[in-house]
Amino acid sequence: VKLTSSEGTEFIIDRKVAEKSVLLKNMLEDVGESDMAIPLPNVTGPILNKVIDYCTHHRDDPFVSQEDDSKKVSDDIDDWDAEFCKVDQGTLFELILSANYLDIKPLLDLTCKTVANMIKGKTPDEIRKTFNITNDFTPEEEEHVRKENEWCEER
Amino acid sequence: MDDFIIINVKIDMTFLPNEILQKIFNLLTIKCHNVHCAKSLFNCLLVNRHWCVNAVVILWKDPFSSYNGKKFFNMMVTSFLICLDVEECKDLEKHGVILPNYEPMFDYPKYLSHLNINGLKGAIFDKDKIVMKNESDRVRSLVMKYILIMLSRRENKLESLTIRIGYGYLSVSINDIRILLNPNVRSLIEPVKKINLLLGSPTGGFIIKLASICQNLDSLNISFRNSVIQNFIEISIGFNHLKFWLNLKVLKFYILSIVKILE
Repeated sequence: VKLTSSEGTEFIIDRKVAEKSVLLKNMLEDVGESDMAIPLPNVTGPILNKVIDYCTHHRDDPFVSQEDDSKKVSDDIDDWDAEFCKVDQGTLFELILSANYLDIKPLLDLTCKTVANMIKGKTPDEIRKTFNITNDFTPEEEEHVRKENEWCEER
Repeated sequence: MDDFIIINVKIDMTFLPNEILQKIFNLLTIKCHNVHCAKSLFNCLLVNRHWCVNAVVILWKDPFSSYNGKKFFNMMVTSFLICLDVEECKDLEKHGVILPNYEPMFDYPKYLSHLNINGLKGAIFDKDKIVMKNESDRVRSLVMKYILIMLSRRENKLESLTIRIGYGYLSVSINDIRILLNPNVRSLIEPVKKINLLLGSPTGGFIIKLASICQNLDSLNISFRNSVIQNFIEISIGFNHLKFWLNLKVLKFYILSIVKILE
């Protein structure tokens, strides 16, 4: 299967690897056998390369259904996956967006778990610093939100 | 040149769509019942407006399951009382309930997708709370009734329902929840896909009636406690006569007190 990244770089991969993406799987089923490259305008070359690495490593894993959300925990990441996610934040967010676009649920779960783990145990200010987020609350709004949701803090 | 600009855009957290942010926040709650995790979600609320809007969706999906008798749960009930209609408010005020008069930051009830009846009762019936301080149990029952009616007017679809009847902390009686069969509350219960029940006392046909309202029900888990063998037989026979039996994907009966049943 031929894929073309947003810059026009071509990648050739096994059909089994490509089919880890539900988007590509459906496309391939619709189109049938073809030499035409599938354009992926939303995915850059370096990110597509990472996505292919992931799909190749997990090519024999069983299919994960959309309804398995209840079984997810954020601390059950295996060593290979943990190493795979040791990237800068820009790359991690691009991987999330690509996994979402290509509909690769296990990769989306993994990358979201990685971000969840970066949030856990941090104060609002530490979270802002970690992700370079600006606090746009007025002091009154912040107090209001805090008061209406204090029950959650007490859990 | 255009391509060059697109490729070099620095992707940061603000690029993540709402559904991804909510997925991440949801991971902070799943299989996580300790203070550390709940605190993480609370801290997400306070990061900025965008995070707040998305964290609220997750936090208020199932607020009552986390009821534990702590003082701030009063605020949760307050957020629901604010959404009652004029007539309901007047009636409660007539009964001496002092209703809050401020605009909440969000329309919290609209995010509710799981209703834990026992947690709702706990949050309303707790004696030491600010809004509901001196009211009798009768008035508190009225508050519970109006909250359920208010929820049934909402567009949000309730996906699941948990009720513990006649057993343990914050247990409810059939009288407490008979309102669920009321035509005014039907629309709240109708879309429910999953019901979890723990039965510690006979229900006199209530469960069959409740389940038959839920046309989309695909999962029903019933745990029997204490001497409720009559309940078990009644429910088993009752379900055989219901059409929705055929639509259920999951039906589980748990007998939690073998000794009592053998007695």
